[in-house]
Amino acid sequence: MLLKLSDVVSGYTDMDIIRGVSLEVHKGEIVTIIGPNGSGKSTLMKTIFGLVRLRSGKIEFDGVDISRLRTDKIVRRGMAYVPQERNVFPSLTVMENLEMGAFIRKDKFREGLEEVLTIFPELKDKTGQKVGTMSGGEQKMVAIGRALVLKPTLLLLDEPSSGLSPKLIDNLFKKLVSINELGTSLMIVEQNAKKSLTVSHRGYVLEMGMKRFEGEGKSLLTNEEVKALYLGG
Amino acid sequence: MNFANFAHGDFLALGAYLTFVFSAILGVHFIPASAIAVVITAFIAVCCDYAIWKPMREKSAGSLTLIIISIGLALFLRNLIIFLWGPDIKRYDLPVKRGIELGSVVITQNQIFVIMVAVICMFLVHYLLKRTTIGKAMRALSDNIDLAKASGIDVDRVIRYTWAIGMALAAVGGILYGLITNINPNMGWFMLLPMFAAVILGGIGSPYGAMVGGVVIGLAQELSTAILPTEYKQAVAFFILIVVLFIRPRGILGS
Ligand SMILES: Nc1ncnc2c1ncn2[C@@H]1O[C@H](COP(=O)(O)OP(=O)(O)OP(=O)(O)O)[C@@H](O)[C@H]1O
Ligand SMILES: [Mg+2]
Repeated sequence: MLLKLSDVVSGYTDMDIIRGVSLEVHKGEIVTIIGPNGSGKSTLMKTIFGLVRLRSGKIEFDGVDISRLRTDKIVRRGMAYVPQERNVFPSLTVMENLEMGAFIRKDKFREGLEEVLTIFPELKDKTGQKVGTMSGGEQKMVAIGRALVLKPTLLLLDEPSSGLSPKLIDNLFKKLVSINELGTSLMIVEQNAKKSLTVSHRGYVLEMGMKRFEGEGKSLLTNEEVKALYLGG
Repeated sequence: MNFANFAHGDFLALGAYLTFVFSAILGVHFIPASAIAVVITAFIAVCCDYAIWKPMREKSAGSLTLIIISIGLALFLRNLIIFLWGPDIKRYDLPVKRGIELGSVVITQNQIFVIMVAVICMFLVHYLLKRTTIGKAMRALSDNIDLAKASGIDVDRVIRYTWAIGMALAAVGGILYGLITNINPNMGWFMLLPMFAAVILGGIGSPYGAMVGGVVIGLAQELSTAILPTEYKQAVAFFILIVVLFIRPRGILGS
């Protein structure tokens, strides 16, 4: 088991946003989390990554309890995270953005850079460009590339397809599948539930900070209740 | 850490006073005395981070709170300087050297030294920000501190480096200022207004803007003395500021 959450409770103010969630990601899997707006999907990811404090419960990563570990320690253990918004350094160049992804292991940057540029060959000729001046699709590649530089064993992606055109979305999911085939497990939060569940091994439905459904990607897609409630009929 | 540091000027004064202590009182040669002063000032800045700014970050204090704290720190430093070394004007007591005549103007050797050091510092800052990992991390932090954290960057460590380098540069500024005029407990306070004007003029948050702003404000102030009484120097700085902000509201290099 790569990631295991047991009865996780967390939140920002007095109110609990995540109210007792248990889920897991196995080695090599793509897992998608869907749920209505405000159900706590982003908060759950931030909690896993040590950016929102855990109130109770337990998070284990690669057999180690990371419940109260600082984010940079979690990164060192091989997890990476692409936030939903503000996920690049706009005044830095593409190269510098990728370099920041390898800040804690500068020795691994060269190797990682090559891999990122193989996955996103579109960035090859633009390494010197300021990311703030790039298109939304290009910025998304930089954001994911930054998280991939250290070849994480688990990559958390918060709504990677948001703001992209249908064509770019297809392209993105192809890339995500190939990233997964290179040995990185993925946990994806998506509004684009159909697309994401189609490429996923398993999925969870989150509602009001609690787990509503879980199952294989394809079986969630065909589950009548899930279809009616979350996949728009 | 997004706030105007009102204690900046008093770190500048601290650098000058420490140089005065090592060179004029303890008899160390001026250059090593300055180096020691710069290192001590940077060290004090890092201590301030541990004692004041880090706890404030952990409480997620707003920028108004931070500004008020920095004013408190400024007053503390100024009065510490008065307490330790008195309120009157001091000089480094360096031997006076002959100036160099260039046509109708005379440039002192100290002035040439000041210009050289300032230019070298500018290049060093450029190198730091563009070429070193810690410098790039500083820019990353000022872009998006949450993403810096999520990239595994030890944000506290980068901020400590930023304080150390920033206040070391302030100390250099103070030492140089003392070299061409004199040192006194209020020098930091009086330098603060043109410094803020230069930063705003160049574009807040842009180090290169601050360099350009500094040159523009400095030149305008000095050139104005040819046609206006010197008392109007400060007014000239702010007149330029207003004119430029009318044309470019985010400053010369602001984005
Ligand atoms: N920084 C914050 N401080 C306080 N409350 C927050 C904060 N961020 C989110 N919340 C609240 O937490 C709840 C869950 O938000 P979250 O962003 O996790 O939802 P989400 O499922 O990701 O929604 P979306 O699909 O819109 O991205 C919301 O009610 C939101 O208002
Ligand atoms: Mg969200």
